[in-house]
Amino acid sequence: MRAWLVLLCLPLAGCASELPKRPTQAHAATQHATPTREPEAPRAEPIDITLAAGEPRPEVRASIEIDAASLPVGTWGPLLGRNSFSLTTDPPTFHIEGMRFAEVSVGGFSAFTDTFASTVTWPQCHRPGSTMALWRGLSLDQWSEDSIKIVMTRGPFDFASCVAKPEASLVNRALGIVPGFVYALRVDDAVYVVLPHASFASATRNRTGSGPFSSATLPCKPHQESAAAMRISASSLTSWQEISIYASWADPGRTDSAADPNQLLVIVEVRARGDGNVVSVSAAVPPTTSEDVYEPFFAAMKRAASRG
Amino acid sequence: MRGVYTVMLSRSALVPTLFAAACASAVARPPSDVNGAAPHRQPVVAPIIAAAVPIASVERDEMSCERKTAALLPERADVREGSAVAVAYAALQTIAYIADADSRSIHTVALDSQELGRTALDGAPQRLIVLADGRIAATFPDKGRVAVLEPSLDPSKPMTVLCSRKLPAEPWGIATTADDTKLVVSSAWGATLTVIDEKTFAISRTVPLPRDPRSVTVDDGVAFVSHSVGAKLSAVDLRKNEPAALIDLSTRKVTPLIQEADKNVVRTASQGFALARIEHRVLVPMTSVDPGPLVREEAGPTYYGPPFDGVPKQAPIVAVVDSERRTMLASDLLATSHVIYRRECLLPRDAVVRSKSHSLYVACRGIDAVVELDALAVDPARAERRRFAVPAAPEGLAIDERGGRLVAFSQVGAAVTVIPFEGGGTAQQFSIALDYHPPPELAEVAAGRKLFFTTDNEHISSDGLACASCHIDARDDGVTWSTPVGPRQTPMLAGRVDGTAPYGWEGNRPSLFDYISHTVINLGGKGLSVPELDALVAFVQAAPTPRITTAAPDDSSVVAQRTKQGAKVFAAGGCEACHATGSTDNLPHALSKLLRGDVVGGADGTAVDTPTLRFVGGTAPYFHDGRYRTLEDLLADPKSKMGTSAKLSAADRGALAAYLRTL
Repeated sequence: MRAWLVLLCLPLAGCASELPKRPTQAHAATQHATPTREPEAPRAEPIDITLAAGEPRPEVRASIEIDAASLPVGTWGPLLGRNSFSLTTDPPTFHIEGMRFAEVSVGGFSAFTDTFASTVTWPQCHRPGSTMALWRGLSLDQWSEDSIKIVMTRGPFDFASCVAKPEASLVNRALGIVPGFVYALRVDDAVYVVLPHASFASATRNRTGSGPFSSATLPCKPHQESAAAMRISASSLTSWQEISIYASWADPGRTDSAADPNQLLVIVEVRARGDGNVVSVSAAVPPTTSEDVYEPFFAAMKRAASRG
Repeated sequence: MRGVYTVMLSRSALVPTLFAAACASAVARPPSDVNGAAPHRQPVVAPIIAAAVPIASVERDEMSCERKTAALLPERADVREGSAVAVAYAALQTIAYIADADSRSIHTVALDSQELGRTALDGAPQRLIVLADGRIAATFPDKGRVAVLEPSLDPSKPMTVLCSRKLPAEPWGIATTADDTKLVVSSAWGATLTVIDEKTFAISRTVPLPRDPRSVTVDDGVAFVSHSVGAKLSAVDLRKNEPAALIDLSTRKVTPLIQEADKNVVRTASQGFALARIEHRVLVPMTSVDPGPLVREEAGPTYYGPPFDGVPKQAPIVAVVDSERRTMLASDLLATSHVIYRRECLLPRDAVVRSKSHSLYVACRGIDAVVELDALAVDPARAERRRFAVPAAPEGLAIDERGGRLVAFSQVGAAVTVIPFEGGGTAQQFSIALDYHPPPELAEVAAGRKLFFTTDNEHISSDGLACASCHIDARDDGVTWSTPVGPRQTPMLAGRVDGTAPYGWEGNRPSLFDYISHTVINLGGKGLSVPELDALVAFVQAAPTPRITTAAPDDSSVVAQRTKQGAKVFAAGGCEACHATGSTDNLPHALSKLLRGDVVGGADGTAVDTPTLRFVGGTAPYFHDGRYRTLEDLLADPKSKMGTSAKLSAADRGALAAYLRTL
């Protein structure tokens, strides 16, 4: 106990040995008389306190809702086109064909193109066995504010060869629920959401991630709810537009601070509504942040709200 | 609304009139820090009534609850849940009734002018509700009663206490059914829900609940009850004679920063004081709690609980329950940042929904703010729209839909704040002072209370927690925390600190002053000054305790007889050797070492200081490490070393437990 206190106190102003000491023992609790009635609150000013500094929770400045039933639905079918996927572990690299910007999932491994995936645990190859793999991403054909083409492929991943064998494909256009920025497609009782690169991405129940784009798979079933949160910088919005124009992406994470409290917080939710679901997108920034920085995104939110 | 300005009124210039609204419109109010919820300092509209008012008794068992007059009383707003504030509409003005526990009064306030009248009572009202005919029902925890009052036709005159009913200990939350046939009242210490016929005011049913039930709402014949301790919501079907169903509100955290194994850590919850409802969604603002692993594999940077990993060990959340299916819609606590947010709503005290805008308003003690959330969000706590600074300790909220405004009552600030829904937010709000003049000798206690409930004070903790975050209302949170010396249960403080030195489970702090000064350091705080510590000690010693009803000597009921038998077992079994007169011998004792990492009881470890047994019945789980769920479990286990209790007959152990619950 004493050792803990010393350790905790070393960097602090008030060490255990320096804690306030009573001038006398008169305040020992046993010697106090207990008031005979409940405390009442004099309306005097309270003792001044020192409020800790820190980041305030962002405020939602705009939100939209769309009926999940109105989203396009992607269905799995026969293999379409060339869609292979393989891994090499030294150096850790994955090779994907058919998509310029994509994410791959093999068991607990998940990674995006154009990003460093050295921090994730790579599949152990050159051993017997197999597991299901999923690779999916953006096709840049006919990318518009209103829709983007999503391509998904799945099949068994053979650990011995480190290669996935494509078995089924899903191709459909996701709807731009925030035109140009947030796209959504229904797939397998879930909503697959695509949006710009995020410095911080988390989602309930299902995996989420971020590379050149961010994605989240949110279960969409009656009487269930799920959510994803993404923090997006202004430069990420610029990079996102470069993808659509030049099919190239410069990682804003190399210049942006992920801990920047002024980043846009985008929350995508699948909410229960009666016996159905609605998909909502909320955009939040701290009270001290100007909306001007994210004007393109908020303008798109307004366009989405105005189309009803 | 009147906009940016309010007025200070001198008592001599005021007259008790129903229509003083025009007075309040001309003096500038300094701007307040809305979003940071800085302390509220604006001038307020002063009350118009005299301080000296007669005190009415709420102990009126024998009286009829029928109205004394046939005149039309102010019409209630469309609300069925009790709060510390309720809105009603008179012919020419909008009125707020305020349950003010500090002044032991119900205030009558005209929302467009100032306080009109005060009904002084001999009990401290906690929550009130306006009934269909304009009468008011209010709970009085300190009196163990719910009372019905009839407002006077002249609101400057006191209300009449029509009747009251004795209920299980600490009646707290109150609500009425949609058809206005039943009142339901929760009893916090009594852990029950009482169903009362609204017409006859007869008690028709008492339903046992888990500990610390608080707010109540009724949806489609089912009463939902929040709990300030434990991650649960109780559901009592008022149409069936069945036990309460418990809805699990525990959560798991989701953040990219945590390890895969930690994603399955189940978090409990506390601070479930409030409830609201919208579209078959029951909303429970509370604090999700991760006490950390009971056994620490390695030293950690925090004394209590786990380190920050994207979701703090205490995080605000609004649990959303599907009232038809009685399940939580989403049980994941989603991280939205790399850092710990400041000015979080860690001590929610009341909540109200405005259906028109799908807004959930939560009164947040600690930061002295009302936060507006998206009521339809998966977790409304993560969809904050606005926040409004209000006077200290917001305790009650009400919607004035006709006036387009929110009404907040601040207990310590002794004021009602009126916040228009539309317009510039805080720039448009104003406050109305309440008539209350507390005795100055309690200034230190009041200052201590303020500190005890203050969050985000870097001198108290490094992560924004308040003393009240774990010691809910100076009691306990039922949580066993991970600490470097093993798992340690939060002890109840109120009523248990006088005569029980030394302090701390290890008994290594000779005084409360010493104990508190070290605890804030363990919380990562920078430390408090002597006057601040003095104030906290004064508050903890004065904190309200439960009022337990003990059986009269001639009570021949089965329960009373069982309790008497338990007292005999207590005396004969040698319990008093350590727990003299149900208290403590003030000495440490070695106990069996059951958990790895717990230094208690070993040759090189510390012994446990004997805890007092006062109020032991309401502080489950038991033992320093919370290993026993019930008193019966503790008494039956020979390893607990509770004398020879494990060798007693089951009947005697049951009697002993019953006796302990009366201490």
